Amino acid sequence: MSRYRQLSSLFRTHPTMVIGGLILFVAFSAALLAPWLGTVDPLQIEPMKRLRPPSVSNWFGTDIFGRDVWSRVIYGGRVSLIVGAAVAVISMGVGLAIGLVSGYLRRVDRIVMRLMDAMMAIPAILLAIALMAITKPSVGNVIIAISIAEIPRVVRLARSMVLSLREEVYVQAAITTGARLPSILLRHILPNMTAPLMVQGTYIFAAAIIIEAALSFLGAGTPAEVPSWGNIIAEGRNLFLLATWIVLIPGLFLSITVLSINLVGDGLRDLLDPRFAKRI
Amino acid sequence: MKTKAEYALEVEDLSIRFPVLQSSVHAVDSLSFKVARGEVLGVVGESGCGKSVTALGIMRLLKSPPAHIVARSVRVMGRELSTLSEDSMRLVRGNDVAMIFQEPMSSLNPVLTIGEQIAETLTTHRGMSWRMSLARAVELLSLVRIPDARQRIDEYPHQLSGGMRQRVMIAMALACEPKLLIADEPTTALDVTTQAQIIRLLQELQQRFGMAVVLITHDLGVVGQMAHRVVVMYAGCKVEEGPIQEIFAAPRHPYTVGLMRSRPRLGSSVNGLRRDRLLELPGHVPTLAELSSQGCLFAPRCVLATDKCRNETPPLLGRDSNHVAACWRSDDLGSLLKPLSI
Amino acid sequence: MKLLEVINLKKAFAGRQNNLTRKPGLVKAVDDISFAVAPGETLGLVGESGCGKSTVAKLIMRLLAPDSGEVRLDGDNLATLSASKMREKRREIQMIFQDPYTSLNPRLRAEEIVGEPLVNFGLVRGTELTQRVAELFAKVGLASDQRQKFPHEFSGGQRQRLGIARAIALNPKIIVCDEPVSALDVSIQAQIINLMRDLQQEYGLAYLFISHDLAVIEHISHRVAVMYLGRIVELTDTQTLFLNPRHPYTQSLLDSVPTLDRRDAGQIVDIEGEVPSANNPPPGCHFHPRCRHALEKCRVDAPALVKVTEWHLVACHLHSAAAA
Repeated sequence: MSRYRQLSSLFRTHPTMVIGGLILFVAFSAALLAPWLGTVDPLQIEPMKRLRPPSVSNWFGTDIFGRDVWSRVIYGGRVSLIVGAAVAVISMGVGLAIGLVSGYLRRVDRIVMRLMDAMMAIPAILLAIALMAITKPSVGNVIIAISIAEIPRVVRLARSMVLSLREEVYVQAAITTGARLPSILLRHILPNMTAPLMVQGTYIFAAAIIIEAALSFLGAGTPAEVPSWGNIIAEGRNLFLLATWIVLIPGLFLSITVLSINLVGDGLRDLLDPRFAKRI
Repeated sequence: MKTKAEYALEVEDLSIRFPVLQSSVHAVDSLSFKVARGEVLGVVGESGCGKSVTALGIMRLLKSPPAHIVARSVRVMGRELSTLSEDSMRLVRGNDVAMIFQEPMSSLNPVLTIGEQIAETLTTHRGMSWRMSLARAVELLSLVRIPDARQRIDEYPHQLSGGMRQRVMIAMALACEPKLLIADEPTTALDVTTQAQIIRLLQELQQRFGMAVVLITHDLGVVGQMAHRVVVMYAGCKVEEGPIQEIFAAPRHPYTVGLMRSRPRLGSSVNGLRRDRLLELPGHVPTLAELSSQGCLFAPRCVLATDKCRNETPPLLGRDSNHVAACWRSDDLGSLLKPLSI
Repeated sequence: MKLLEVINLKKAFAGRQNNLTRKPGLVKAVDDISFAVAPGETLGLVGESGCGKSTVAKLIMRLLAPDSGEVRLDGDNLATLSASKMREKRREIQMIFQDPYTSLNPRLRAEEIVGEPLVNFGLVRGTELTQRVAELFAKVGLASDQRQKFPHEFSGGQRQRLGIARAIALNPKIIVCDEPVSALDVSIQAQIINLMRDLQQEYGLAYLFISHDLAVIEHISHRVAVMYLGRIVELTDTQTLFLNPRHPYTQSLLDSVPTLDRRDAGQIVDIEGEVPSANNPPPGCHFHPRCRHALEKCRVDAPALVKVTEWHLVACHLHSAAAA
């Protein structure tokens, strides 16, 4: 079946997922191709062109420093997507490893879960702010801070899945056929966890983007020189009535991106489990 | 000859279809049968043959859509059901026709006591006061031989064993003294000793109330114990029907033979048959999507199948209308029926 | 010559609290079980739900640890083996599970599932592995073009065949079968039973065949043990059990099976009462409340499993006198 036919039949069964995926594809492409999309240096100050509304020369207008909002939003998208993806990968990887071991080995479990419970008692944003307070602002540190804040959620999910999968008959069968612990974890338990974990990963991706924007908005995220959607919104906050586009446009981009990620996540969940795969 | 009102249930040309992808599949295909008053009709078949769907369809308990139910007629005690409104149908269920299911735990409401559940049937259909309904509930529990009925009516389903719950279901079903009882695998989930008790109970009650029973099961032993007549179903169609003794002594469809011979017989170790292989039906029950549109549905698995069988769908044939089978080769089943010992 | 020997096996679980005494209830799922299986023979273990037969299977396969008692495989006491030796020993004893829908990992392909035991012990690799798996598929009657499929693409009977292929992959000496045909349609049961018997003949396998279905047990077993509430009440060869059952419970069990012939003889014979809760079993002989022939002694003393003839053991006071 040609790619086109595959896509259109996927569209019939999972329309929202395809739409979300397309939007994300556009977002990623835009982030990648930023320099060629009619952008200028996002940091370029143009004092003569301050607070211009959207026009032919500045598609999204300019901000208080005369910087082109279109360029800032596109380059800001890079930051958001990179942070989101990095956080998702790191927190999933670390959380999964901890959760797997914790779920299967009772002794480890006791200590780990107390630690995770403590971390989860603090809302993710506050935890991230606290962590950022003890380091200097940079994109890398933002990624680390948000990842740490999201890890306990992954551990909890992974662990609870391991606990229930342990009791599956096919795991008992694996034991009787001589499988060792690593084999049981990697062959039998882990693969049966991927569907919910994938979905969780996309939600973390979305949450991380929002948290980064919130952190930047509060001044505790990416440094002011680096354009990010949160930064742009923060700067435009005081001028909301004068120049609504500065807040509205990045806000819109933020919402649509996060929504698309969630839609893709839901669709992935359905597609990944061979039992529930809808025949395309 | 029996006049129309003499039949507790008459089903004519019942077909139930479900949409699948671009087309639809027949879960039940042109099924017709009658149950006389006070008679026990066994409906036998393996999973997927459509027997449960038939029962649900008759009771109009299938969600439609997606189910698509058509029938020329479905009559209970001479009264046409297929044209009734949902409100009227609700008055029929539990009153004229009652149904019991395989898993009593899922059919009983876990947050109501069993007394309340039985009494509810009575207040709904007979308009009895709550006090009178509860009193009657105690009577019914005694009827189904639950000891200490007076204490038990305040118990919840989870406090009872499987056999007890099944008895409660039977008590609920009998509360309004229905003329027809549909029992869908009533003993399958029970232990063999409990099953024996329930079968005996059903027999006694059936005889006492003169109820007609449609007994749906895959277990030929249970059918042999209880039924007067048997309908054998395969892939949504009736393939054989006849009186119980005849069906067991001289079946006229290879599938019926297969069902009978697939099971090991109790007592086989004592009469030298044990060491032999069981009769195997090759292949598997076709999924609804795999059904071919022409020829006998059983042909792919039948050792006696001929080209005629594969091309022409056999109608129900028999020497008399009492015992019929949908098979071109009913008279040639001798080789299948030979005893399996040396 | 005993291949598998189970000696005084006991296993209890924490049950519900006894409201009167406030003591934690103890469910004696397996209450002093002993039996043996010879090479190449099938021992049927029959009982109704809650009698503990599945727990016995798990104890033998070491999926659960017994509270006391021994499980000896080829003379080796499994409890005293080190973890790695135990693992080696698993090659000799394998298991077939009841539910073909949950006993196969839905994420693995059929050939991976069947080949896993071989991979676990590093016995074969690469093309040799593929070869061996293809042989196993053929042995259980599955077409080789099915190898790449996932479990959900097979029917129940085919999945059970996969489970059987997996169980024979290591060439075990004995297979513990926990209700292997109960979840299958009647016509498929026949296929699987025939297959299991063929494999037994070809490989000289022993089976511990656990089931609640008397007719199947009778068909496939050489000897039969009857369990009730965690205890064995009768143990003898198949023919004797079905021709001349001594224990009242066995008799009731056999009388309860519905058949066409029984209908003419009058009512089906049913025993009073229900299987008591394992949480609070009756004292003495567990069966006495439902037993037609119960004596005073039965309420107090639990009868031991003793020989009434050379090959027939019964746990009943009515018959132990005869043995003495």
